[in-house]
Amino acid sequence: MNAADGGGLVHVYGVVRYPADLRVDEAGLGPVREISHGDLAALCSDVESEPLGLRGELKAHADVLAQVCQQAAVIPMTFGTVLVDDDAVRRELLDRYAHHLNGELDRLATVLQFNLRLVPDEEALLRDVLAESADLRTLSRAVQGLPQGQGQAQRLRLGEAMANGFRDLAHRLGDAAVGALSTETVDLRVEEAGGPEGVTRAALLVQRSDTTSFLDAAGALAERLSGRLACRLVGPLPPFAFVAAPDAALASGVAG
Amino acid sequence: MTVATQSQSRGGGYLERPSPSSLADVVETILDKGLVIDAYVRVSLVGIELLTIDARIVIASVDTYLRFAEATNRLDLNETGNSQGLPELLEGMTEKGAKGKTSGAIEGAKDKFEQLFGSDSGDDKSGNDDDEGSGDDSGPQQRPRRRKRPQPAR
Repeated sequence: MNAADGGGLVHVYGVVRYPADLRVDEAGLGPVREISHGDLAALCSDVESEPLGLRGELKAHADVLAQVCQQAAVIPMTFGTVLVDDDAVRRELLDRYAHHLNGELDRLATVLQFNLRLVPDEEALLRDVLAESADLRTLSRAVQGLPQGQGQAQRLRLGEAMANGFRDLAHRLGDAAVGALSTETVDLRVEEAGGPEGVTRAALLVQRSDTTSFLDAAGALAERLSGRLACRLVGPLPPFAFVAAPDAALASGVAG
Repeated sequence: MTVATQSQSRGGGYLERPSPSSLADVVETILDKGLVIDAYVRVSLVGIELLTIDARIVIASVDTYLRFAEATNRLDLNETGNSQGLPELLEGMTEKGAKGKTSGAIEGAKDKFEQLFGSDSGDDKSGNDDDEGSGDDSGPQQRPRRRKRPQPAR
């Protein structure tokens, strides 16, 4: 292998149980290989030098892990985890964190992550907001009847109420939608709920064996929400959002 | 792979399942996620911060209010829209969904729906309604309760 002993660096995608019978066709940051130690293996590519962080590199990291997670449980490393050589991967990752990695591999052995993103249709939700409030309908009619450039205060009052109503409704719908899927998940994390544009994002942890029924449920939900919220589902992914941080004492005990 | 293909037909085309996922999806998925170790070398992430800056409209501004007022004015109030009514939609999702594992936000929302629509006494399988996540100050998900009764359109 080329850079393995020539001072090249090693980028780590994630850690799997060893031996693992994996097929990785994704390009990655270079050819993907395993560095094993005991019953753990790190999936790695040699990289020339820092810095790392081009878009293609970020995507390569994600693509390799997405492919691997369909074949085996994998603990994804954060992007940019680079060690000096193979030996450092064994010593400073696989050996030092062996206990934590084994625990996480056990805990997350049978799950996959899906990322749900719900984007509201502004017009549809504004219509709903008006339908819910007689006061706002009245105000809206009043503002519509005003000549151009007049009634700025009323305009602002209407706009503020509608903006708040939009956000509130987007939030309610997002909550209800994520809640509706929660029977199909083992864990979930709402990462954004009714954000500035009413977007809701959640990471959902699903049993591998339940993937089909989860996707059915997500499809049915998307159909129900159509017209109001557009549903986007990315996955299956490794459990990026659910990996526990290692013990702080362990992590900070750098200098041996 | 099988999973992805299979699912394209599932959901009747309403569920968007990008493959391969876009860069934005990737950023959302992996940035600041995954296991962080104290490695000897940690690479500096040049350029990544640029990706996370998205030009979002700050909602509490005069411009935004005017924009919403205009958008509202453009709506034809007599047109009812052809989708399912909102109360039915919300009720349907809450019924079907989950009394199990939810975040604080979702629990809060559920309470609200039950106030609005009355709770079905026949609560489903998981008996543990009020467990996790409902810890009161669980962060930014909590919102002031604002409740409007649904009113029939005139």
